[in-house]
This record gives sequence, C-alpha cells and structure tokens, in this order.
Amino acid sequence: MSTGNFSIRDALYEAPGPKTKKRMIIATAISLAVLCWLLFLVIRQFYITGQLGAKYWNFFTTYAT
Amino acid sequence: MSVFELLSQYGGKYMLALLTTWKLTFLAFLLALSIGIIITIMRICPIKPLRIAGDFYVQIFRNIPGAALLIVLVYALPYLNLVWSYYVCVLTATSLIPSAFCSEYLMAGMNTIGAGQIEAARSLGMTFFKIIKNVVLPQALRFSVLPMTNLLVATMLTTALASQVPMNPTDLTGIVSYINTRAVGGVTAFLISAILYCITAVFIGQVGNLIDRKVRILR
Repeated sequence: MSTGNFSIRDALYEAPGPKTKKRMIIATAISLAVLCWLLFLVIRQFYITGQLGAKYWNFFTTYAT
Repeated sequence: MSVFELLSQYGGKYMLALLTTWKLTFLAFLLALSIGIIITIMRICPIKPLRIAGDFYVQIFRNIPGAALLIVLVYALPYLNLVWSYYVCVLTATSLIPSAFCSEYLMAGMNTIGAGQIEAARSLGMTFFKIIKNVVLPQALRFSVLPMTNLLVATMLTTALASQVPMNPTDLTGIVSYINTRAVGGVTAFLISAILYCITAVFIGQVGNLIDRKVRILR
C-alpha cells in the first residue's frame, strides 16, 4: 500500500462500478457546467463594464514599454 | 505622550479598536474554516473538475499577498460595478487567504489518517459522504487543532489590513494612525496596540493548547 506517492485521495474510493461510473460522468458534467457558468459570469461582467476593451489589453502585445 | 496620557485620552478608542479586531478575527476565522472545509471536500472528491478547481483556489489564495488582494477588492472591483463596503472588503480579504491555508492544514491532517481506516470504512459499505463525515473530517479536525490555532493568530494579524482602508470603528493598527495624525503618540501608540495584540495571541495560543490536549488522538 505504501508504494509510490499513495495519498489519502486514492484511498477514499475504489474503481467505480458501471452504475457509479455513470453517476460520476453526470456529476462531472454538472460540475463542469457550473464552473464554466461561473467563469462566464465573470467574463460577462468584464464585458458589460467595458473592461474587455482593446485599450486595456493592448499593452501586453507591445514588445517594450 | 506617555502611555498613561494615551490611555486616559484614547483608552475608550483602544477598547473599541480591540473589539473590532476581535470581531473581524472571529468572523474571518469562521468564514475561513467553513470555506476551507468545503474546498477540502472539493479537493478530495472523485469529481475531477471540482478537484482541479479546489487546487486552483488554494494555489491562488495561498500565494496572493493580503494587501494586494485588498487593493483588488477595494480599487479594482468597482470597475466591474461591484462596490462593496470597506468592512466587507476587509472581511473578504482576511477570510479568503486563511481559507486556503485552512484547506492545506486539513489536507495535512487527513494524510495522517491511515489508509487502512478508510478501506475499513469502505468495506463496511459507507458512501463517500459518510466516510468524510464520520471518519475523515472528525480526525482531520482533531489533528489540525494546533495548525488551526496558528491560523487563528495569523488571521488576527492579517486583520491589520483593515488599517489600510477608512473604517469606523477602526482596528488596533488603524487606531495608531488615527492617534498619530491627531497627537504625538509616536511609538508608544504602537506599543499599546502591540501589547493588546500580544495578549490576544497568547490567549488564543493557550486555549488552542488546551483544546489540543483534550482532543488529541494518542497513538
């Protein structure tokens, strides 16, 4: 058991069965959707307030100041 | 000004500042603890996106300087139409950073639990959340009492960030600049605040040791 970097994260669950596998895929999809939604909300807030305008980001493309 | 002059003139204000610091510390620590537990559960759950998000959260807030986070909250968020009161900004900054550390301490506490215990719980047919609730979290919390004591002290010291924004009533560090802009308090004004910080920290440390001795798991 103590071979390699076996951590508590690996001990918590075994290889999932077909039913659990399906549930995990669904949960992964839902969590991914929620995280994307949060990211979208942040970007939307940037967009609404005009913070995505080119003038704020252009200086990253210039070689020297 | 001597200590006695300062105390007779500003004693009430110092008490108010001490109470503000205590209140901020308490609220921030409670928030940090609850966010930390949620983040930790996210980091150990079998769902990959949540794991990655939890790790990302900890990396971000463990590595951001408190003052930088406060500046972002106070000066950058209004550009996104999010205007928070100074109090909320300070509370957010002083709870997000300790929450990342809290999660790390809990992870460390968890890694001290033998994998055999979890395998035993699993073979008894416990579900993931049952294992977390009945086996992992109680032990992780008991193992991390001393780190959490350190975290509480660190949270208290982080609340000195409150002195960087106008607050009424202000905290122990803010009261020093309040006094020094109105009178010649000098270093003495700092000394009183420092002593009050020290007393609080020592008290927290003693209580933490006491709790640790009560709940420590002897092996």
